[in-house]
Amino acid sequence: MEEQNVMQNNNNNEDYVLEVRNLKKYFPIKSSFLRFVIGNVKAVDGISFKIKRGTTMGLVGESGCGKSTAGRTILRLQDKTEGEVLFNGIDIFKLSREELRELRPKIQIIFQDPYSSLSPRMPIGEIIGEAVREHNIVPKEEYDAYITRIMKACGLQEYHKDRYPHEFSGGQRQRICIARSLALNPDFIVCDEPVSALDVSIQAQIINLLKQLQKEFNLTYLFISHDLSVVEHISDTVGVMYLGNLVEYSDTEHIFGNPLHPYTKALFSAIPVPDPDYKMERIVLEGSIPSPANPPKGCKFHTRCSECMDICTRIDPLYKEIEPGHFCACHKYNTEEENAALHAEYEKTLEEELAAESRKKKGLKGRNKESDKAKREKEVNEAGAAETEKVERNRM
Amino acid sequence: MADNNNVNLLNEKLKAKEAAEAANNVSNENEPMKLDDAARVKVLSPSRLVAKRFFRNKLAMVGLVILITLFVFCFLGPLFYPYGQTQKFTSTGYLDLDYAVSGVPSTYDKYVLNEEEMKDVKNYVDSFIIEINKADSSVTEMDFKRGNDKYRLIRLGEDLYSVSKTAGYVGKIDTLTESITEGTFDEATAARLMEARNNKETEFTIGDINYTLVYGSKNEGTKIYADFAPETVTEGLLASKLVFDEHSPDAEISDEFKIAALRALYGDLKFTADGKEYTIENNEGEDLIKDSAGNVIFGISRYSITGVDGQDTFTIDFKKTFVSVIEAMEAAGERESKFTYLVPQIDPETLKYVYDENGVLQLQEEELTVVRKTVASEVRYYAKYNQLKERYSIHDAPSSRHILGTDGDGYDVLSRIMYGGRISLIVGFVVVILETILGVIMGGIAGFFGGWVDTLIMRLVDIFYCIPTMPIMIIIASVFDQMKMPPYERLMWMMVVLGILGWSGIARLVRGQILSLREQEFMTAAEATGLKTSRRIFKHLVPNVMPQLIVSMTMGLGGVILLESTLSYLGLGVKHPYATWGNIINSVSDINAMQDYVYIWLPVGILICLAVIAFNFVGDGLRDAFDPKMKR
Repeated sequence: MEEQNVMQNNNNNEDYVLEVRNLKKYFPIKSSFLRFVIGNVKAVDGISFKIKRGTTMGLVGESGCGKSTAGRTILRLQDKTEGEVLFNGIDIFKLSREELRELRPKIQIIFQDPYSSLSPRMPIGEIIGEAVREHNIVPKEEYDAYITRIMKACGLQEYHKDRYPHEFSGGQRQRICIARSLALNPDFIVCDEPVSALDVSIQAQIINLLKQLQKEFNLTYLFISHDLSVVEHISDTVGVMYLGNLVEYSDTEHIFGNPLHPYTKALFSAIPVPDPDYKMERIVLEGSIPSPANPPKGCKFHTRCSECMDICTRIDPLYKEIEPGHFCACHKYNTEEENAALHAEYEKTLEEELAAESRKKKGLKGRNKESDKAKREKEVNEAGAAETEKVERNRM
Repeated sequence: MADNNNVNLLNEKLKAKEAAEAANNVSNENEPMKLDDAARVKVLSPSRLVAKRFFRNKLAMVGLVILITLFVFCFLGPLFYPYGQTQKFTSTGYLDLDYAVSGVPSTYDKYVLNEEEMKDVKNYVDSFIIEINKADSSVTEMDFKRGNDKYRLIRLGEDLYSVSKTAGYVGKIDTLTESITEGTFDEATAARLMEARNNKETEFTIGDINYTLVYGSKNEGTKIYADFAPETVTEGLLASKLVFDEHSPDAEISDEFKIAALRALYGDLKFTADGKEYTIENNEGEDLIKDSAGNVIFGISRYSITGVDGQDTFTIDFKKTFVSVIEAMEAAGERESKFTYLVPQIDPETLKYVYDENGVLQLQEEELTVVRKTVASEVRYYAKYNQLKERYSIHDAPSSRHILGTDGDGYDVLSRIMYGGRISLIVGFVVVILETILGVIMGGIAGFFGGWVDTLIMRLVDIFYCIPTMPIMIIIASVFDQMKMPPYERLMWMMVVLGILGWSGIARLVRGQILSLREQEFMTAAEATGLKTSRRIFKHLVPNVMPQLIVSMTMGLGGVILLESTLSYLGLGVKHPYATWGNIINSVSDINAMQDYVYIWLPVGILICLAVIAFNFVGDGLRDAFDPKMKR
């Protein structure tokens, strides 16, 4: 029965290898003494997207926005807090341990650091072939030849089989990682910043290898990176994350050509252009990314947004399709009806807040929209603006 | 099924690609290898790299050579060495052995004539005699009082004393009837007694006789004690230290005979016993008892002479000579003296006395040494000479027969060192392996699973870490002693206990390693590729913990050998007669033995040091070899 269902799902969602629905991952903060949970780091706070078979989705965002956590949670390398991850229509969080283990080869991951992701006491052939044998991917008699072919496909030589990771350069190691993933004949590979530890020329080799393999074997990638040019090069669709939320998602062309969300705009404005005469119009974000343990109310970006409106400070923006295939979460793109509804909600929230505040400190004038806290925050943000700019420049 | 198709697809695609490439680059195969071709570089696997680095380390090689030598010596040596570890060795040799012992008896022989009178005082006679001997030699009589009884000790001769009772219980005055109910008294005495009783007098004299009244309870009445009339006093006991030596082998002797002889000795030298007449003659300081026919039957002397092994019979002539020597020594106050006499010949092969064809014991002249010793407050004289005897080879110095000599039990030291080394090394290995197994399992579980399991195991480790080994071992050894465990079983249990006490360090090490490895990305990758947990632990974690483990095991070996030696030295480990290095040293634990028998403890001591040092060298070498920062 279940298998049939799965098959059916498979047929229904043929187009989509992966569908993530409202995925959340919180890391509890525990008190030092009694280990009570006193808060959560909201690393991933409700993201949803779909990936078509044979395409690459880029996931970008600044450091600490939850990209890698999202990648690992999709693989169920750690448990989710909420939401669903459907792989070929199967919710991988509903699988038993053994079922998950059997599904594992289909979803692979390539890590950022090629140095620590290879067991130092294992020859390369064993690293690549270990799981192949475990899952009986190929018949025994073809095993050796198969490993050789995989290695060749990833640009490694046959004699590398008996060598150990410490004898390889970073780029070669990343090829080994790719070979390890590829050997399991996956449908879907999460590439968790696979090139950020490599120098630029090697980056290009690896990216091209990934693209080539995708073309040849119809692979699907989730490409996590903060390197926008790389993402632009490899991705078919791009999601932009900010503080655990997906703020914008669209085709690569669309999003790079016409970014909608203010954060995306700021982010993309930092892409260096290889033309010395080109005058960059950079949108400089003020302040630094807020703590995911205590994210701002309303739109999480409002503390740094140049186009911040009143409503942004209280009400979460809707994540909706603004143009066909172009999703964005920003109050700027609300329709009239939505605006009316959201404003009503905003007024209500404000009243409630005021009531609570006046109950707290009687007689204090709380009508001022800018509370003391907000003022302080603003001051801090202004002070940190210059520094942030520097950081941003370095990073991009 | 769909998967399989997919796989085949991938494989087919790859094959096709391979074929295409092969078609394109046919010439590539025949191209000469380039100078910088990676295939030319000979690359070693990590373990071979470690081996190479290890073998280049001179100190480690010294350690390894020492260890191999030790192992060959201990495990193969006994196969080629003729002696066992519990084989006792004997040799014939001249030993300065006691031949005869002579002594003055410390207590007096008591010949009781009147049991009734003497029963209370028999055991005090010796102290009475000591009292009288303390006094002037002219004193021949002394009175002693014990309770209300009086005794008189009379010195009859130089070595003959008599004891008689002179006063005692004579009668009783009944309290109820107020009359004398026991004893007979004349009227005047009776009246005086009653009067004295009524006046509560305790002592009074009537004529020459002293009376003593002892007032008791109603039932007991008043007891009357009085001196006996001199004519009624009789000898109750004779005491003498003199010894009767038999001159003719079939002579029999009775107490009556002895009493008569002793009386006669200090009297008229004639006596009659059992209807026969005897005379006593003094012949060159010895008193001889002759029967009516003039044959000497007994001699009376102050010294008793016996053979040391209890079987030798001595001729009267030997006794005489011996006694004369002793007397000369006493007179001169010497502690040692020598004399020559005939002693039985000993056959050097059979080590037995030599008899001629008539069955007569063959004698030979030997110089005997007489030594004065005080044993249990009794003065004894030992006559000894160098006798040819079979004896255990105890503490024999090194010789061609025993290369390192023999120990205090007559065992061959070299063979014991070999067998002891076996046990010491086996104990070391078994304990370390036990420790490691326990440590890896516990540390592995703690590190891999974390959480409360980790906390629990680590607290357990803390507890084991602070248990002091030595007191625990002392307690456990005493329990083993109580259970009378056989030595090899005991050895096994000891290894188990040492293993259980020692695993905590390794558990900590393994846990730490696994905690850090667990967070490495290759472990996440292993999980992502869907490997089984067991495979992840044993193929990914354990090989990465191995280097540290091997180093700590090697280093631990020396420690365990040392600990085992210490325990055996203290008598807590392997028990005698089974050898270990520790209890070989223990056999010469007192300071004099250590100075005298260097050949016993020094080789073992050196071996223990060598083993420990070698294990440490090898451990150090391994640690350096495993250290990836060492690029040599």
